[in-house]
Amino acid sequence: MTTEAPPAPARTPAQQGPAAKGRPWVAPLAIAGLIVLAAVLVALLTPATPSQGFLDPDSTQPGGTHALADILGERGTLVDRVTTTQAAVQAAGGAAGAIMITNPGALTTTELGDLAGSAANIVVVAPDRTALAALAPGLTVAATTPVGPTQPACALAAARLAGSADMGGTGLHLAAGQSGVTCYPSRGLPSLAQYTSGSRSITVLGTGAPLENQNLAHLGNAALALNLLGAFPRLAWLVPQPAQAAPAGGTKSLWQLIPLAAYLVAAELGVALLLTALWRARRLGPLVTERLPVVVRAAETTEGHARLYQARRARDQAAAALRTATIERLRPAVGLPAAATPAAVTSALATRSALGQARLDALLFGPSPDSDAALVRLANDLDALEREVRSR
Amino acid sequence: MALTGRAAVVALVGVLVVLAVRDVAALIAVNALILAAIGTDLMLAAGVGQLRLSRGGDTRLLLGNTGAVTLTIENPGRRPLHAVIRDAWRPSAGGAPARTRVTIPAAGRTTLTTTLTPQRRGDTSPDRVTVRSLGPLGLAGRQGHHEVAWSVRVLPPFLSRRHLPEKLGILRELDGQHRALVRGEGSEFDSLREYVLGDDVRSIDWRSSARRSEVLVRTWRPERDRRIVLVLDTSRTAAGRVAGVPRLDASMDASLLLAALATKAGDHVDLIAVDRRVRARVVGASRSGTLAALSDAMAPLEAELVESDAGLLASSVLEIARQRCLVVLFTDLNRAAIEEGLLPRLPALASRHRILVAAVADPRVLEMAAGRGAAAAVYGAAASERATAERTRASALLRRHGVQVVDAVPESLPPTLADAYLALKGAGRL
Repeated sequence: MTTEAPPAPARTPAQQGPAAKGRPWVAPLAIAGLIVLAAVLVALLTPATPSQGFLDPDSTQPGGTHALADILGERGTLVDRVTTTQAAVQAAGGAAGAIMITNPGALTTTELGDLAGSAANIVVVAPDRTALAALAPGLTVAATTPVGPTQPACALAAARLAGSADMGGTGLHLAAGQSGVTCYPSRGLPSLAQYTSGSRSITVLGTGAPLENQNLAHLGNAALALNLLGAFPRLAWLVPQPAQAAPAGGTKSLWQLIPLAAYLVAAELGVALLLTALWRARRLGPLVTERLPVVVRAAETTEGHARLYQARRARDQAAAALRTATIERLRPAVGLPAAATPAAVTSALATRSALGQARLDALLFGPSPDSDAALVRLANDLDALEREVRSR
Repeated sequence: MALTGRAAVVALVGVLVVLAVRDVAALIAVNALILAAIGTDLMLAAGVGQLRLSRGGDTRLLLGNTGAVTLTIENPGRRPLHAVIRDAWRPSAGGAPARTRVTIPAAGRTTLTTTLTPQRRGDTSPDRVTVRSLGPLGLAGRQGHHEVAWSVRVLPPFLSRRHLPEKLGILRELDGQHRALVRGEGSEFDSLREYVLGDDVRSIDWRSSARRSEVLVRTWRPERDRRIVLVLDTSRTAAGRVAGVPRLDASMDASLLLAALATKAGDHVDLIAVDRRVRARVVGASRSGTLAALSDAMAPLEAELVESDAGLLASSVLEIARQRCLVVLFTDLNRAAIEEGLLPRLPALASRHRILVAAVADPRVLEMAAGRGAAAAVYGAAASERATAERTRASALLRRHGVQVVDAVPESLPPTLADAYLALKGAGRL
């Protein structure tokens, strides 16, 4: 789920807090964390699909109903576990029997129609709107209520005798003009409804909790379940198999389901693609190659030299170069020969500059600067001296 | 064989047909039809091999100008030719248009023009001419190619030509200035003319005046028929780019201006380009053809990444220059190269000839010298000062051997060199 995380949205400068400025990895990490958190939340909030064996009469798991089926069998009800609707209708064996539908959400509309069309009584557990509309059109889904101990509060004998039970779940609503019994109201909405449609009875349970192995001994759950289901001599318990749910009318593969026209169009599109590829693949003559001249910037060595100076902090070398250049430029102006001594240079320049001989000596022949800032200052001082000497 | 986009479009239309009919037979029919149409096109397309191609147009072109090369295609076949033609040139030749659609009737001909805007000097030849002859339906065609030889020599641009009128003006001034003067070094007898008021009476030629009934004065002019040998160093130092242009090209520009000026002044100009071998040689060209011969010889020159052979350079110069002449050496003021290469050979050259070294300075280095403010800029300034000091030392070394040095940035090198030549000419020291 996290592998297909959507790309993080582009961040505007306003979104970048002062903390994120210093540590650029914080923001992506936070976004990734949020995505993981969201994925976990979604995973937790998504209702778990009924695991294998949920409300399955063959299952002895806590969520199974083997115990109930066993008791029903002992009491004379023939419980038949079936996996297809046809088998269910057949096993119910007509008007006396009943079909128990514990997972109506896993049935297709066609299958729901098959079930609704059968003559058998119907017991539906936790139906959704679609299932309810097909199987029990006299009822509608009102809301979802919590599952917990609930009082029967109705006249239905099966409920009244059982007493309070773990009911709730899907809150039901009896359609206007539909006569029937509603029991176990949770937050005002009944979670058990029974009405008669023609010659058959339709029972809807808001939750399968009272039927489960783990809850059967609790409150009046067992009594309620036995009262409701033990009334039928035959009970077809429909456990739709997810893998077998789809193929209804034979063994057509996915490829066979695609219409012929799609294949034909795909083939012709393939031809068009092939022709396009052939069109683009043939170039109009080969590429023309050319021997290119070498590109060397003449200033590259000087620039490299400057970077070397800076990298090695060669302030002494740099200062010496700048000082020598200034002296060489000023020498003709004050009439000095090439081999003039430092003392001669300073004394000659002192006559043309406001700087004293000692400061001139420090500027031109002093120690090399001890920081880059001092070097920059030295360069500016040398410029100032040059301007001064030239202007006088 | 080559398909066109139209074939793919037809197949897409076929998709609609198949969608409408929804039958395997329709699919087969549509594709058979497309295949048949492509086959027909291939059959009916005019043959490419039988075409006769020829070229014409410019063979010489100044760098920076635009020229045209024509391609004449003759279709001797019985079918008209509908074709896409690509006249391929190397990328730097700037050939346009890249491809052309033509229709040539049977036994007809047409001429295509490719305009060239070269970006590099040297010889440029076209690659193959590819012809894609399409069938009447335009779905497919035959493709083939022809090699049609041609060569365009892209000459150095001679951008410094704009300085020529001004320098010629100075030259004329020099001539005029000298014509009435008394004889001096570096001038020679020109002619006799009638005395006009204001002429120096000392220049009156009494003997000629006695023979004629009028007073004649002698006129003098600066010496003529001197020899100038331009030496281009095409070694590694010439490859360095200054303001985006190799030093060699800046040197060529300066040498062309000098040659134009010198030929106008009546001197002879020779050229050699040397690195480890002699790469170009123009000796004894006629005065009017000198400039053309020089730029022709310079056009294909490229700097080689090798150290120049100063011994070869000196011996080639001595071989050409038998009489005393001005040797203008275009090289870089690289101290190591000059100390180890040129300096030992210099006495032999300098004793027989006047030597002038023209070097291309780098404005970027000069610009770096003004760097202040940030530490990086000051380090740059220091490195630049160091490089300049090295150059100065190298040129001082040359001057000590009696060599004149002209060191200038590319824009000012040609006029500075021309001025140096005019100064030598005016002083009669050629």
